[in-house]
Amino acid sequence: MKNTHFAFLSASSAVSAVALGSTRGEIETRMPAAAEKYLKPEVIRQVARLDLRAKFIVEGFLAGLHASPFHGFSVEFSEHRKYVAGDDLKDLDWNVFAKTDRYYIKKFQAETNITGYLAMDLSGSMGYTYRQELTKFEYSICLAAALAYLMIHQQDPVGVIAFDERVRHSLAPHSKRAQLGNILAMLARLEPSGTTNVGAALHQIAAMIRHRSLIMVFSDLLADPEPIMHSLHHLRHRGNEIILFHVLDEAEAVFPFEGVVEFEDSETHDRLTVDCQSIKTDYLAALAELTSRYRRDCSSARIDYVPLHTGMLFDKALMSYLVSRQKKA
Amino acid sequence: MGFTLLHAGLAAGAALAAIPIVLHLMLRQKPRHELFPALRLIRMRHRANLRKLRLRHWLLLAARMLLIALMALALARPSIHGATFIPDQQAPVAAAFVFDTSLSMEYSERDRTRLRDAQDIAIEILKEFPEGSEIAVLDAAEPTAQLYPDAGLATQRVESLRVRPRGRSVNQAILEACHALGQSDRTRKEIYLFSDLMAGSIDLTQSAPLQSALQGVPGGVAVYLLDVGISDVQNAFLAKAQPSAELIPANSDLRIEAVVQDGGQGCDVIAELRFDDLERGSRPLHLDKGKADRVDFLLPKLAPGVHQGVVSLRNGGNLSLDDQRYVTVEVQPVTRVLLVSDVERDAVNLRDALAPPLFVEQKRSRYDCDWIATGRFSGKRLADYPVVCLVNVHGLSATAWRALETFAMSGGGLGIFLGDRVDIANYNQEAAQAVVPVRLTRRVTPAKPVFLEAGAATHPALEKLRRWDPEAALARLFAEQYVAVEPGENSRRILSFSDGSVALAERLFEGTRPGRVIVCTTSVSTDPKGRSWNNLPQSPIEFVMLSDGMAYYLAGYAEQRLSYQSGEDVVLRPNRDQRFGAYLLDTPDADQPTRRSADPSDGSLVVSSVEALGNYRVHAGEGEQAFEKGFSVNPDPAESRLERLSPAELSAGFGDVSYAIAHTTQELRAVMGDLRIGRELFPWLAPVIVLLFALEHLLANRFYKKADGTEPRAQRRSAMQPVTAGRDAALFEMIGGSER
Repeated sequence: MKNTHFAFLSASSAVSAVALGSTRGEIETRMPAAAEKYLKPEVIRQVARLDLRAKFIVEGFLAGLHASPFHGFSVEFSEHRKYVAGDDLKDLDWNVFAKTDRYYIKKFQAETNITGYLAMDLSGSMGYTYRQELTKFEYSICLAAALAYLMIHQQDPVGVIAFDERVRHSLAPHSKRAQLGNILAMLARLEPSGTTNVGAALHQIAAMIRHRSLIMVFSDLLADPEPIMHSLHHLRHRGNEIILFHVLDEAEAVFPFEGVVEFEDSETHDRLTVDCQSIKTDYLAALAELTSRYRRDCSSARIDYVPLHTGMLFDKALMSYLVSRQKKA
Repeated sequence: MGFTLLHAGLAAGAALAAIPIVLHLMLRQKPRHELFPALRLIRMRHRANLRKLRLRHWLLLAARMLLIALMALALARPSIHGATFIPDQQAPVAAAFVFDTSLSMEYSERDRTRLRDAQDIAIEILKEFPEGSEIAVLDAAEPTAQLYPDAGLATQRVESLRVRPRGRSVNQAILEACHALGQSDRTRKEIYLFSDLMAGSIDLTQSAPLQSALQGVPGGVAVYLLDVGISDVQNAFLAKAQPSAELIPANSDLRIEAVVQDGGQGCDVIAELRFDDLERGSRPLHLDKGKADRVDFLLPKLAPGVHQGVVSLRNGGNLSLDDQRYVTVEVQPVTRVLLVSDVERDAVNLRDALAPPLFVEQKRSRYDCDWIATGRFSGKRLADYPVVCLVNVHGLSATAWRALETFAMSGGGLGIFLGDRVDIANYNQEAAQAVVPVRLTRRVTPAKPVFLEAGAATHPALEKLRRWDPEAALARLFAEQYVAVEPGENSRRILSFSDGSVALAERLFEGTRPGRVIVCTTSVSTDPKGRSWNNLPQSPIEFVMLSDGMAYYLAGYAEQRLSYQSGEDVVLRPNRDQRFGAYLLDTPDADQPTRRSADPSDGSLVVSSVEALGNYRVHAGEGEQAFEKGFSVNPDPAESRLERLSPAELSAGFGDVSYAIAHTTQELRAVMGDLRIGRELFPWLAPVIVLLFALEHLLANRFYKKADGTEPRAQRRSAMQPVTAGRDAALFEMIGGSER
């Protein structure tokens, strides 16, 4: 655990160095550029352990982020430096002093902690992929783990809620580092199956959460948008910030099928035979209409709507989180 | 037009078109199965897509059914054909071989005539005829059809054919062939027409009866045109070789005018005249393409008797039969004319016109004129004179008129020239009216001169005048007085005055030799004061021409023909007072003269349908009663014009009758298949099947296309599939971390 912490500190120091004005060359000497490849789902698939996946995704994201113009984000979540004369004593990190007998200043630590909830859709449809390395659920798990990793290391309390037609599993939010292991263990155990009722589940979540929190919903939203938006409004009405990760399979996003195919709904097992050539345009139009509606409705409700598919890099989702986190801060 | 399947049984295979339906119903289509969570989005737009899908299903089904049906149809060998379809190709045939034996079939190419080519093809065809076939061989020149029971006889008949330039088209032969085939009970009926298809070989003006006959053959008849013609011909021919006159008086000069025509691409030729077995001259000629040139040969002072010659061309091209034209002329002894008038002065003008004193003095006159006073006419022997002229005769006794009637009926020629002495009543008496063509009414002195109406003057008596000056000769002649007449029965007007009254009228007498009487209503005499009824005495040339022409005609010379076209009937009459039971006929195609019986009714010699080209001689009697005539037979010049019938003309000629053209035996076999079997549709069906197959393939491929090589991964995998810890460790180390 200690090694991990310092390893993390080592990496985050590099990030902070960038934030403080270090050159790109200096970063590259300390952070392998190959870390960015772990933003790719097909690469992260090669990593079996979820904790490593989360770590690699975050490291890759941070490496990419520091090579990007987005330097102003508040990624300096847990920077420590040696105490120097003139520093305010109240910033002294006594925990570090107790462990190391050295004086460290908790610098730039956010004044306000955000309680986050990772709301995972357990519907059977989330276990689908057509030709990608990760199913929608695996993709969501990786993303959730990475976000949990980020939040824990910002000392934000994070919890997990898994739902299908109702809430099935939950883990109360904590900011302790041990919470990351709990979260990852829980996420690893989750298995998508059965049907879902996102709207009802979110209503239930809204009733469960007592404090204003950041709720990150991971779902393919393949249901009637109307009740889902109602439940999101309910959540939003309770003062929660919401990031809605609309996770689709790459095949659902681009519809690569050709010829005549009998499609089966993975939840209802309804079947439909279609000529893919002729339906493709109509399907993509219907999908575009659906996402447009979510985007429009979410925008009006000040909900961050992040459409994703399993062929995309993870950074888009993480970036959405950071944007939301910054607004909250 | 009909439609037939040669292997109708195989067409039942079209029922296999039901296979796609059965497969469609039994197996339905088995599309790939895919899980797809976003099915809801598809379902939203599925209805319109379903219609497209069904449409494609039906299209594919239809394409497959059509493909199978067409393949079955193609195997059944469908064909379209005319009315002559023969289900059994080995059935005995009733065939008519119609040969065009016109002059142009003699055209030679590589030492083979068109007819020889046609014969060889015909013999080849005959060898392939099934046993029991009936064959007729028809010569267009003599179109009689007889069905031979075997090919051997037909082959002999084909071998015996020769060119017969009679100018006859094949139409009649085809009609006869249709009639003969109509009598046959054979199911296959075919007409083979062997021709060079030159213009005239098929009479397009008579195409309606031709088509009707062909379509009327019971069971239908297939028509094959064996085209043995040559497109690029090299030929020059004699379009004309004509003497100035065929019957010429003694002491006359003879001029033979020949017209040489190029029928190919232009050439240099030499025109030669051989006359009375002597070379009488030659002329080199250069002919441009399609142009003609004229050559004159002059033969002075021929002795009385029959003279024959031939004008021929050297280097005349590949058709030799039209390089000669034969000429026969007969030089008559001086023609005796009896002039009868009340006073001799009245006949002087006519005598001087017929026998000008200068010609008489030079012994070149064609006519020997005797004058006799009217009062002495009754005792005159008229048989010595071919021509008798009454010139301003007051009147004759009834006996004299009857003598003249007898004279005319025996072939004599009588000219009646009216004048101021004419007693109208005498000419109108019954005996006179048996001879005189008109009834006289009164003497007329018009207010102003009346001119001759030259427009419709085509009578042979005016031929010489018209030939001398076709436009103006007659129009210059006018009359100030004439005797008005009414044409009687059996008479006809020859020439009119401009006021519509008769100037010349004629009456013909049928007999052993036809006699003729011409009456001239204006006078040819001059009174003692030099006055005349017209300007004839002041127009000596016109007067001479008119008088000569009338005397020539009255003497019966104009009607005698000495030149005939091949295929015509030749009629030769003996002289007056001659009668023979038989004649000896010398023909150009025989070494010895043949004896021909005379027509018992009038003693004439009739040679039917003369064919051999050349000069003929006819002899009969001996001594003073000896009879010797000659005539020439030439081809119709139109047969030398080697212009091919166009396909459009052929189509017009045969109308709706289906026919096939072949040039060789091999081509014939091919086109026979087209007509007998019909035109097979397989060559057209094959590409349709290929296209349909391609369409089906395209539709099916598009329909059942698999995703482009990307196999879907197993769905519902476990979220965390183990991989080697070593790899994880390596990855971890790579980013500088360590395992927790």
